[in-house]
Amino acid sequence: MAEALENLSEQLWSRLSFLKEFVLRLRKKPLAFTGLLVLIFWIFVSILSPVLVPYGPTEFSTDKFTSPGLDHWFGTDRWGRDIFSRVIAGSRTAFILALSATGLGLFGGTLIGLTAAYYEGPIGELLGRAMDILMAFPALLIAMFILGVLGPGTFNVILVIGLAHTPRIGRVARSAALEVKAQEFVEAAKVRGESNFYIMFSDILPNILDTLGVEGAIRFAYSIFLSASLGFLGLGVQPPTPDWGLMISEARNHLQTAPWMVIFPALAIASLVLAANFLAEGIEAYSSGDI
Amino acid sequence: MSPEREVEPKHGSTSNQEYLLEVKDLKVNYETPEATVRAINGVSLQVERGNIYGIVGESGCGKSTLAFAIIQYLDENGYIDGGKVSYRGEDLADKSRSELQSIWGNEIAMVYQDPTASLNPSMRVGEQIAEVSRVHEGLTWKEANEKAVNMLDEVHIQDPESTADRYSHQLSGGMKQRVSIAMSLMANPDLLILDEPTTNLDVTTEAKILDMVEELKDRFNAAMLYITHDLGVVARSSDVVEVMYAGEIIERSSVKELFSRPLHPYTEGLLKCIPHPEDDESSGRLNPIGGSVPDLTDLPEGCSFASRCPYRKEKCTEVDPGLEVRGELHEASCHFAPLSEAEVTRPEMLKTLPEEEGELYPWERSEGEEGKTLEINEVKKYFSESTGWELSLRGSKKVKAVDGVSLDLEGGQTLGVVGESGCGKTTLARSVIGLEEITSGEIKFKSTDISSPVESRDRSVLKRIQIIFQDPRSTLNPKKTIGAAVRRPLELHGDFAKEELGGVVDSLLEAVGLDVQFKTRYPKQLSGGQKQRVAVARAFASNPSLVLSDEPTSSLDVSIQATILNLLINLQAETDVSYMFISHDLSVVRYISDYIAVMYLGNVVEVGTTEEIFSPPYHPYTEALLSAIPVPDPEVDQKQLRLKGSVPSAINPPSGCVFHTRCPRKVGKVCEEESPPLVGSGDHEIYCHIPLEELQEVEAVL
Repeated sequence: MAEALENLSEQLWSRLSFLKEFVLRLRKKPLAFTGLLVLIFWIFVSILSPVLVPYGPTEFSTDKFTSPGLDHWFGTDRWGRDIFSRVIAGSRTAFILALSATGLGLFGGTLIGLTAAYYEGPIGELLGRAMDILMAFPALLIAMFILGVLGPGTFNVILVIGLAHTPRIGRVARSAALEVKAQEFVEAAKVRGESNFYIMFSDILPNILDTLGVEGAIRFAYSIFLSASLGFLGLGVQPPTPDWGLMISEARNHLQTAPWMVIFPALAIASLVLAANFLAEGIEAYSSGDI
Repeated sequence: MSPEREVEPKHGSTSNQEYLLEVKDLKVNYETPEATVRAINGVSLQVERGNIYGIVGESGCGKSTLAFAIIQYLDENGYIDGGKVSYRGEDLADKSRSELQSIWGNEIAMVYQDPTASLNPSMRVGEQIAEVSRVHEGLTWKEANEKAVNMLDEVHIQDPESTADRYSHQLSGGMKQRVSIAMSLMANPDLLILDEPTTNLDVTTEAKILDMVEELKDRFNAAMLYITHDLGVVARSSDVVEVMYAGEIIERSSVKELFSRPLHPYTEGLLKCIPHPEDDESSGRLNPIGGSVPDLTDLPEGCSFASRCPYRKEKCTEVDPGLEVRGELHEASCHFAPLSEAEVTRPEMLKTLPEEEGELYPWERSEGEEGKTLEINEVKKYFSESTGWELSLRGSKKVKAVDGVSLDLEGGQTLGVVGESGCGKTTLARSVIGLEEITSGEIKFKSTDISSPVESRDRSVLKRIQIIFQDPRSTLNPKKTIGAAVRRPLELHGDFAKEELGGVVDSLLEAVGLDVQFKTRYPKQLSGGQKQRVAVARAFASNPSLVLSDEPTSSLDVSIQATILNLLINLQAETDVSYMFISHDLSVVRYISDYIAVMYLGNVVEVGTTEEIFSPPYHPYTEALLSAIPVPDPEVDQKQLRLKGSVPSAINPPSGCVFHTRCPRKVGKVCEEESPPLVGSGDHEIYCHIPLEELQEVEAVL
């Protein structure tokens, strides 16, 4: 078991050196490359957000509903909070939510998908069908239902979005793993007397990482979207935390009078979601050797 | 067949100076993101009616590109970079798309390697064939359908009417290929291009298709270009042979002349590196061609074969020899052809080891262990047709893949298992290795019972039985270095201390003839042959006593196949390992095996020493198999014995003797009712109702 883990970490390290080559090749796909740049931009913004914000994101002021100008670049909301600062700070919320949820989904989905693929027959069949059933419900519906029971909150939102991703990622992982499993090197490993654990995690998993990368990027985009939706519905992150979905929700009643309240967080969501999707396309093209 | 099938040339008779097809100094390039691949570099070719032109060469030599360039149908990134293709004196490059379309199918037809891909799965085959005549000849539905049925009869499909009503998935591979040949002949083409039409078929089917192609040539008076990698097929089918290498034709000659007196060193090398059906291990080692095909993106100056040529002189690397007449109707592209008298006799096999391979094997020879290496006793393996949940819901059908097989194998010996696809040879090997759980019977390895699947076998047994798989592309984990792949079994079985491992990996790589530098490379950086060497090294890393090889060379070029076969033989001499060698290629099996088992529909029909299998008495099935082998020598007089129909379904195998439905020597009712008794003498077992004396009188096939 330890060996398998050691082996896997080796694989991940060697993957990092591919990163440079990946970026170089990605330049042949302008859209995907732009996606990467936008994503990197947002990563920096979210890391540096405490330094970047001109005002405290939860700080009230008397300048209510100020339109965008020199003092408040993106204007202010009905409490007089600076929208620019809230969008910047909101990027951190978005990243924490989306990354954790995607990570959770990737972990669970990969585990289930690999198991379902490796143990074909009743176990695989059962897992496969269970995933299909879960996928029959819209993710938002499940999320609303569970959050209704558990109550809103950052941790619960992460858990719920992660859970919503699991069957989808699981199905992708399963079909990719089935393809790898049929290859002769997997049989060679069995014949050699490798443990099931080793075969699953050291022989099969490294060969589906590309597919999981693509799926991860798509799920990341979807997480941003889903968390914003939940925030909008009031089931997500609670006020006064700066959250893009929440901001749009609060701006709803002032659309005619203060459109900037909704435009800027919406643009932020759109840019991040599109960037992640374009990047996913880039990863796919890279792993299939098209670029 | 109706008399109007008699051929009349469509545009009046061709004059004497004008060839049906003339290719002049053709050059074809492919643009790839990295570089320009020069797939064809100046090929000239003349084609006349009534001849079959065999175009032979190893993978990447440009033979298929040539075919597509002739019909002006190259891939998007391919283009003709010079020269011209004239058909009936007209340059095809000047033709418009619609003019070309009326030529395709109507005057030039093509048959592809994979009939499954060239037939439309949603159309009845009859309609599909008829469509050709409706489009090109303007026949009505009824006329075209009648013509289609006649054409199916022409390609020897039994019961053409009902076949015409079927869909392609309801036909066997051989029948599908017949259908696509029928389709290509519908418009009575003047030129028929066949691109590896029998490569995916079994030998017995291949033999029938080859017979048919020859017959059709005479009947239709067409010209045929027959593209193949198989010298045996060329020897049987062609009148004129064009040998291609690195995008050039390097030798052209009549088929007899080519095989008896090859002029180009490459042709000679090709003939030397394939085992002939009459050769066995005692004839010596195969003689592989060293080096590899030059990079087509960066071709060397001078002769393209120079870097691999054993007779190379200074001039070869400076001046391109070009195809020149070197004998009567014999052209070769070599400065020094014909070579001295000593070199031009029939290529002999090498009598000594070509390389010092196999001497660096890290283990001592294993001491004599108790018992036979392998004993297979009445093994049966039935597959259920359905899997998973459905199993319990429906009465499942059983596919009898292996149906009561008994064989044994002594230490240091090689058992060859031959038979057509679906005969159960691979399932048998997978049962022995434990990848399939056997339904009943017993398998013993050195007196230890190994009837259980691999998960429940003891590690000490696992490491002693290894397997080399067929497909070099999937045999290695693409994410692991070569070093890691070879090192892993060493770590797992713990025969060496950690510090020693590096050295052992090095010596294993050297033992299979790979440079130590390969350790840090990934599989995608290796050629097919190199990957298969790594697979051999990995199998031998646990010091096995038994190595199963499932068609280990069938996807490799012949020159590479020779090196792998030599390697296996050398390793056996070194380590006393036993091989169970599975192959459909009887020449290869004969070359490497001490004993051969012939399988048909899950049963062993004959087993004996290599000698016994290849000479009478034969089981009628063995006899048919032997007479179907494409022999790479047109002078060999091979008996013609063809099997009817195709292999029956293993779900419901024929009663009595499973072979009775196709047996050319069927005795009578007894064959249908009773399972055949064992006849034969000593260790030579034949399961047949025909008495041994009668089988002994059968004339030898080869």
